[in-house]
Amino acid sequence: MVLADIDASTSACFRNGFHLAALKAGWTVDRTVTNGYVYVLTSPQDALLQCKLLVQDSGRTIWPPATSPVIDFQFLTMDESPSCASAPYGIRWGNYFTYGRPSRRLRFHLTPCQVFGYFPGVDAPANAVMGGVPFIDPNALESTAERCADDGSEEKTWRAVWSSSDGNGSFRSGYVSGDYCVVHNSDVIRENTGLFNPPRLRLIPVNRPDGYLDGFGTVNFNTPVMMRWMGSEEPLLHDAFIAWSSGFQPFRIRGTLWDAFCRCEFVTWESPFVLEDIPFFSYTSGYAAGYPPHWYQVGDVLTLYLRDPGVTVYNCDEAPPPLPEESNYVY
Amino acid sequence: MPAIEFYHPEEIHPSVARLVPNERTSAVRRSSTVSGLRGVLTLAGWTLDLGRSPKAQVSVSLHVPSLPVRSPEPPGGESDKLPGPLVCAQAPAIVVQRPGVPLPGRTWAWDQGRYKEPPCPHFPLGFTPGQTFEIFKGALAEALDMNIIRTLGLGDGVVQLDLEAKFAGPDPNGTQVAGWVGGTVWRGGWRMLSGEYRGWFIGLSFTEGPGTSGGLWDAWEFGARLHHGMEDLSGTQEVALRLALSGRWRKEATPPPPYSSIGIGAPPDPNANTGDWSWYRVCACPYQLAIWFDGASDTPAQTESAAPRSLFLGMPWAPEGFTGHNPFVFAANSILGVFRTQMTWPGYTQFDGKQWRENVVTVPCMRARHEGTVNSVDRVSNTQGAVLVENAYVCTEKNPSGYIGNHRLAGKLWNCAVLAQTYPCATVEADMLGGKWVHVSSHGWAADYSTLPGRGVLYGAQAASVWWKVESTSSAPPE
Repeated sequence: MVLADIDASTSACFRNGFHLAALKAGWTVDRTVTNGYVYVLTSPQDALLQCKLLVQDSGRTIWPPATSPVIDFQFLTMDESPSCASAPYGIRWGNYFTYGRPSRRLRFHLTPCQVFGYFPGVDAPANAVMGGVPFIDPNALESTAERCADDGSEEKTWRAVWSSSDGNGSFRSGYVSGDYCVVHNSDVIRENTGLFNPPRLRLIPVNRPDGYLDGFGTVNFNTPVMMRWMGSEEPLLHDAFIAWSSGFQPFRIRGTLWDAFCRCEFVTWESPFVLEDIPFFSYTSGYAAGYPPHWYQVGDVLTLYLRDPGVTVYNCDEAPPPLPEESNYVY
Repeated sequence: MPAIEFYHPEEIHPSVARLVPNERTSAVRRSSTVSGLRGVLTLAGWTLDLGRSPKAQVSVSLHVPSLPVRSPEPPGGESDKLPGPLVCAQAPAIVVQRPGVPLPGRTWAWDQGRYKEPPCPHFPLGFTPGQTFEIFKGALAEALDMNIIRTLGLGDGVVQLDLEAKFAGPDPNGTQVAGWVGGTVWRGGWRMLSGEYRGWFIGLSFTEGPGTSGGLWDAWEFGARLHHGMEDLSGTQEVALRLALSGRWRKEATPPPPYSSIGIGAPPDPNANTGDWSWYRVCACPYQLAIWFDGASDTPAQTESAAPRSLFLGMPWAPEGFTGHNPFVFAANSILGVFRTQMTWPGYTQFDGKQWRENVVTVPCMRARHEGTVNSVDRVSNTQGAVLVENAYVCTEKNPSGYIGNHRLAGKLWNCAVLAQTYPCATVEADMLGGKWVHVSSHGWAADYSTLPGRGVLYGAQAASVWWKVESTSSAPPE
C-alpha cells in the first residue's frame, strides 16, 4: 500500500512519480506506451481478478474553467476490450490549478488492485480518479472451490472492475458517482449522468427505508444527518460496500473496497481517524464549497476512509526507473 | 476492521413463537387469551408477578332510595304469607352470567313480610332502603365471589359499588351482572416480569377490556413499566395501552372510553393457520415481546390499518459500556401507525425509568438511496440476487422532536435480523441460517406497486423486513 505525494507540476514528474508509486504498490507493467504505461492491477484475493490501467499523456487538454493539459487514466479489462474500457479520466498536470499551493501536487492511495487519486483539500473536476478490483465475497467467486454458503446460484464472479472520475460527483464528495464505468463479468455500464439523474455506482449507506427523500432528518436542509450512537454520539462505522445496478433493481453489492470503511460523519478532507490502532484518513467530504446538496445525498452523510500507510513523497528529482529495452518513453 | 457479528453472545436467548386464541365468546370457554399469552411469556423466560397481577373489577350503581323494603307482617303471621316459590317466579335481583357457563346464577330479593322463605337463592329485604342496600351488597359480593373495595356516593341517592375479584387472573373477565344493577367484570389479568437486563426489568400487565355494548370484549389492555429491582417501583412510570379495533393507543392513567366491539370468530382450529381472525401470533424472549393477528391478510378489511391489533414491546440490546441510556424500553403499536407494514414504528419510549413519551422507533437498513424504478421499490442484493441479512438495529431519540430527526442508534433487537426484501403479511415463517424465523414486519410490501400512488413507490422506498429467530413455531397454544 502506498500513499504517494506526487509532484504534478510537469507531465514527466507526474508520470514518473506515479510510476514509482505504482511499482511500490505491487502493480506490474504490461507494456509501455507513448508517454505512459499500461499497468496490471492484481487482486490479492485471487490472481485471476485483474484489471489494467492506462496512464498516459496523450497531449489532451481539457476546459473549463481554463485550458490545461491532463494525464489520462483509463481503466481496462485484461482483454482491453473497447466496450469494457472506461472513458479516459483526465487529471490535470502543470501549475495551472494549484488552489493556492506553491505548486501542483497530487496524492494517490494505491493498493495492489485499487487506486484513489485526489488533490488534497479540493474537490473540483479533473483532480480525482478512483477505481480497481473490489474484494469479492468468496462464495460468489467462480474460482472458490468449496463455498461455505449453501448457494445454488449459477452466477459466479469471474471479473469485476469499477472506476470513476470526479466529473459528475464521485466518492470524493459523496457516496454516488455520476461519471463511471463498471464491469461485472460480461455486464458493462458506462455512464456520465447529470447530477439529478440517478447514477448507479454508489456506496451503500444505512438509513431508514422510506423514500429517498425521507432519510433521517428533514430533506434538503443543510444540516447533515448522521447515524450515530446515542449517548457517545459516535458515528456509525460500516463496511464500504460498492454497488451498482444493471439498469433496473436491485442494486447489487459487487464487493467491498480494500482497506476502507464508511463513517457517518461530515469531516473535511483527509481528516485523520484511528480505528483499533490503525490510522486512516477521510477521502470524502460531504459538502464541497459551492456544491449544492443533492436530493439523494442530503439524507446520508457517508465519509469514505482509506487506510493511511504514511505518505511517500515523489519529487521530480527522483531517479527515473530503468527503461525497458524497447522503450518509447519520452521525458 | 472489526467483524460485524451477527449474534452477540448475550443474544443467545431462546425465543418462542406461539399462537394464542383470540377467544372471547359466549360459547364454551376454552383457554383464556390472556392466560395463553401468560403461557408464552413463561416459556420465553418471563416470570409471573402474582402479587401485582390485576384483579378483575366491575362497577355498578343503583338508586338506594328506590330499593324495596320489607312489608309489614300479616295479621295471621307466617300462615298468611304467600308461598315461597312465588318469589322465584319474580325477576331476580342479581343475575350473574359467567363465560362458558350455560345458565346464569340468580339470586332473588325476599320480602320476608309477604312471602314464606323461597326455595331459590335469596336475600332478605331490609326495613329501610338503606338496610336493603347493605344486605344487597353482601349478596352481590357473594354471588360474584368478589370483594367490595369501594362504596361511592354519587349524589341524589345514587351509590356506586366497585368490586374486585379475590384472586388475580383473567377468569372472571366477561362475567355479566344484571338485575338491580348491571355491568361486566373486566381487567383481570396477569403481570409478568421480563428478564433482568442491565439491572432493569419490564413489568408488563395485560388484561382484557370492555366493549361498548353487550359487555363484549373488544380490547386487550397492556400496562408496561420499566423499573429497577424487584421491589423498587418508586418513580416508575407506566404506559397504559389498549389494543382494539378502531380505537387508538394512548398513554393514560385511567382506562379510556370504550370502543366499538369487534367481530369475534368461532373457536379456532389450533391446527389451522389460515390468517383467520381467530389467532394472535406471539414472539417472545426474556426482553422482548411481539404480538399480532396471525397471518393478517393484505386486503383492506384485514390490513393492519383497518384492524390494528399488534404490539412490539422491547428492551433492546446495547453493547457493553454503552452510555446512551440505562436502558430503554419501547412499545410500538399499530394504531398510531402500523408496524407490521413498515419499519418506522410509532409508539412510546421510556428511558432510564423516566416518563413515557410518544415517540418513533426506526429499524434502519442498507439503502440503495436511488430514486427508485417506477412502480417498484429499491432493493439491495448481491451479484447472485441473494436476500441479504443484516443486524436489526433500533434508532430513536430521547427527546422526540416531532419529526424523524437525527436518529440515534439506541440498541439492537434481540434475536432479530433485517432482510433486504419485503413479504406479505401472510408470510409467517421461514427457514434460514440454520433456524426458524418469524416474519415480523415488512416495509411497504405490495403485490402490485402500479396500483399504489405516492412517494414511497415512485421515490425509492427500500425493500426491507424484520424477522425474529425462534426455537419453534408450534401452532398449538400452550397449556
